[in-house]
Amino acid sequence: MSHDSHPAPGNFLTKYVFSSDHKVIGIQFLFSGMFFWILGGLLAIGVRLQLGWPNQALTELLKWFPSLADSIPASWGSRISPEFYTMLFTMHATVMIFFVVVPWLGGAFGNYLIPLMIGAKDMAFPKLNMLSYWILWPAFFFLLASFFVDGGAAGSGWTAYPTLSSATQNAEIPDPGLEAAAKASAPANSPAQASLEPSLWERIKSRWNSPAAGQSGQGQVYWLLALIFSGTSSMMGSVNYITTILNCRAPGMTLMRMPLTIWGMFVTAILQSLALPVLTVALIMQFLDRTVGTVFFLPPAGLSFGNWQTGTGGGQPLLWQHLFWFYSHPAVYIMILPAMGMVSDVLVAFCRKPLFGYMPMVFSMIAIAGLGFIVWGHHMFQSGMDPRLGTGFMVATILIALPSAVKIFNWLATIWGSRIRFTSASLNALAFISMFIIGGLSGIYMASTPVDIYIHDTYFIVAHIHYVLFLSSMFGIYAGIHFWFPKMFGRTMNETLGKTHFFLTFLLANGTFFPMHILGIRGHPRRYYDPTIFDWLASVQPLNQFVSICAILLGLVQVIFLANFLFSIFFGPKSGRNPWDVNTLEWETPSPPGHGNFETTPIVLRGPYEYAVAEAPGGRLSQTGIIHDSTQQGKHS
Amino acid sequence: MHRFWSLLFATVNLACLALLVVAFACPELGWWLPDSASTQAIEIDSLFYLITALCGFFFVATEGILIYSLWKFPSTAPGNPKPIHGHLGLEIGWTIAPLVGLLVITAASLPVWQAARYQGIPTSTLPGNSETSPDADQVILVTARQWDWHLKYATEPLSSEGIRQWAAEGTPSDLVVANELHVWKGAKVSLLLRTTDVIHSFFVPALRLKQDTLPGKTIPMRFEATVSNVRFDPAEGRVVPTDTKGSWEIACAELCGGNHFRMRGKLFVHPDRKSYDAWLDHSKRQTRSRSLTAMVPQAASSIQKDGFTQ
Repeated sequence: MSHDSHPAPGNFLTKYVFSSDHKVIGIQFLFSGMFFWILGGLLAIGVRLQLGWPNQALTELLKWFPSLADSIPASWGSRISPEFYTMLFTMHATVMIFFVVVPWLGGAFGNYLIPLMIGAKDMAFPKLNMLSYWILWPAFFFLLASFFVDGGAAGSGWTAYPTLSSATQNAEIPDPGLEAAAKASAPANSPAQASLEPSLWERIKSRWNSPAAGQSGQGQVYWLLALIFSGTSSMMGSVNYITTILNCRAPGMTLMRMPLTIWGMFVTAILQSLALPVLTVALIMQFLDRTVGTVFFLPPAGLSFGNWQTGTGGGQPLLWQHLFWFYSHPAVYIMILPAMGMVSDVLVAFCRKPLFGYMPMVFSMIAIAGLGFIVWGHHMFQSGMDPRLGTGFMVATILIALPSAVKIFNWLATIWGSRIRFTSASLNALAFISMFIIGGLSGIYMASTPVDIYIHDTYFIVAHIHYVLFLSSMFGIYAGIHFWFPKMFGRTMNETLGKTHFFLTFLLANGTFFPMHILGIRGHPRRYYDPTIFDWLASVQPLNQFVSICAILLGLVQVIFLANFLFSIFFGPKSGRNPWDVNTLEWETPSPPGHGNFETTPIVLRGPYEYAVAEAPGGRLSQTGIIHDSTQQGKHS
Repeated sequence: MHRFWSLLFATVNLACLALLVVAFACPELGWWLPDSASTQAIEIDSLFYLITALCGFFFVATEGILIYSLWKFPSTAPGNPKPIHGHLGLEIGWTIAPLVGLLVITAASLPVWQAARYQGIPTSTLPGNSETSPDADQVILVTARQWDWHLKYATEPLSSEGIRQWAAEGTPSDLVVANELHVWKGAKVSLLLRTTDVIHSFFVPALRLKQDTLPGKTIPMRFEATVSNVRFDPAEGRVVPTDTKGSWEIACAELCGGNHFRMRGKLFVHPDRKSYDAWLDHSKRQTRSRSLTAMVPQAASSIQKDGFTQ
């Protein structure tokens, strides 16, 4: 395959910066994700400061961050303004979804693990792989630059629904009567008239400043560009993953001998390659609406905003929602399926028992991905689409709970009767399972269309998405980082710090997100700058404060993880090839693996989960099959 | 040490469960569902409790097994694990058990959804051509804009054809009120929702009613209030609360800009039509003395003329 064609890199620049080695690219994704993880966390803390203590002057805090104070309108003093607040939650969600969880799961773990776990020397297309990382940099630029443009970063929600996100003032359309009069009085091609006409660039720029949402002027355009580039990156990645998994597996590595991590990545890559083009098209359509004046999302009669109007349209705002959710619902699975796979592998490694129900686990992943394409409408039950469509989407949505339940039961059966070693990695994996139960069950409430009438766009939804994305995906990522860190850096992370971080994160994340269910049951709408103006929400303000305190502490304790991670890269105890004594192929390579990964091409003889084998030394049979004393090998390397 | 981790998982899960139980059992905290004051609210609440019961069972069962396993099967336990790779009977069993629960939820949800949303759809028409049923006691046109609600009350009986024309043009005797929804107990209310600018969402928690307004469309919605909270006092010339129910609020549930949270309205359910009519007459006299047209967003009526149920 093509990996033979790219030689081992020579100098520093080709080895660590513009590298086409999948391991370096994976670690690049890991580090950039970490930067945005910090940024997204700080934005979340801003949201919680406002919700816990609405209208509180943050004079003391802003003294420390003078640049932040500059971006708040003077009339609000040192308080967070409503427009600034909408920017905070919009950018928090955007950063965390598109710049942290997706790049971490797909970019970092996908890149690092796929060739190693299937026994390949590298990805099928190493150059494309390199490009998939570097095309993220324009996305980084537009995302970060958007904080500094006029009006600040985007503020129409991470869902960017038109017409809030897309309506632009149509001041430059001249009155037809006046125009005719001007033509009659002035000779054609008069230079005086030409100078009165706004240039194309001026017209485009005038559209950038949308008065519809105070904050989503130019910031929204930058937001669209950032997402177009990050989507392109994911697209390149998924094409590469599919090809690599289908074509570059080691001899004997049949599809049904692949570890579940690889199955998760494979199914995700297929999902992504089918769904992403739709989002990209939608983003480009909104970009054209914002810049050159197309009207894809503007209704025929146009819109009237108090003292200004749009031109006439011909489009349909609901179209955006269909296109957006056609990607963004599968995106929820893109952000959980790889974590499900990783958690299965971590769990088995520390349970010392075969995975229960390998085939049902694989088929439930495929079922989730398949059904995932026909449930997007459950985000739109209240959107004004035909209620009969809602019925169909409800049935599909309720059915998708079934494969998720099957996965839960199989994990529980894997743990049952095992011998669990409690490490930072296994604890985070166990937390994933425990929390995914809560996140999965709360999803059933919104699948039921009538209950969704009430809880739609309340904090119940916020609680649900954070149980799935933070308490599940993030715990899966923590488990994965602790587990594969020795392979990536040749050293192990500190267990005491790891367990302390897990203990505090587990407590505080539940303290942050569980009470949000109660807020939602009460009817607290999401994206509210100040809920205290409502009588019926006064009673839940103490809960809001509790959530805010937990959230701020939750942010602080992530420093433990960050410190442990950075410290261990340089000072962690050296690990051998196979510190956790695991069967899968990546542990047969040196830690960290050299260019080309494997010293000799591995021959795969069996599945990845042969544990509790009484006859084999160490009670396990590695995938390559040579019965060897793994503990000995670990010591020698 | 393994006991510690098992207990941590137990504590966290029990604390979550306890918070739900406390919120449910202590209504005085105000941490549970707000007052429920419509036929739809009662049905949605029952469905909510049905789902809670089924999910509660699965939650306790699965988390219980997980916590017990952490307690019972640490690496320090004697003996070795068995190399079990699966069990067909178990797989079939735990596929069918949740399927039954999920089908129960689906079956219970369908009629409630149809009652809440299907009423306006004549079966003979194509999707999207929805109409309000002609038997409404009250027709109210709700126009959302950044950042308030304008409610136009029809003061004369309307046929189903007449509604379409009325929504587009109105009649001079109409009453337009900002941010106040007045109905009476037992009235079949037909709402027509529209917006002049961005997407909003008309959310009345006490009615368990929520519907987005969509630029370019008029969306019909129906409800029937079952509890009243105010009556019109002719002597004082205003509505007064009748019992401890107090005020019910209207909120916007779809992000519509910086002041999204400020779209606060109020719901007034009169005990009977008499009280409502008295309020209506009083309000019309009041607004006639001011300028009616000043209250109607001019652009709204001109721009939205052809926007009815496209």
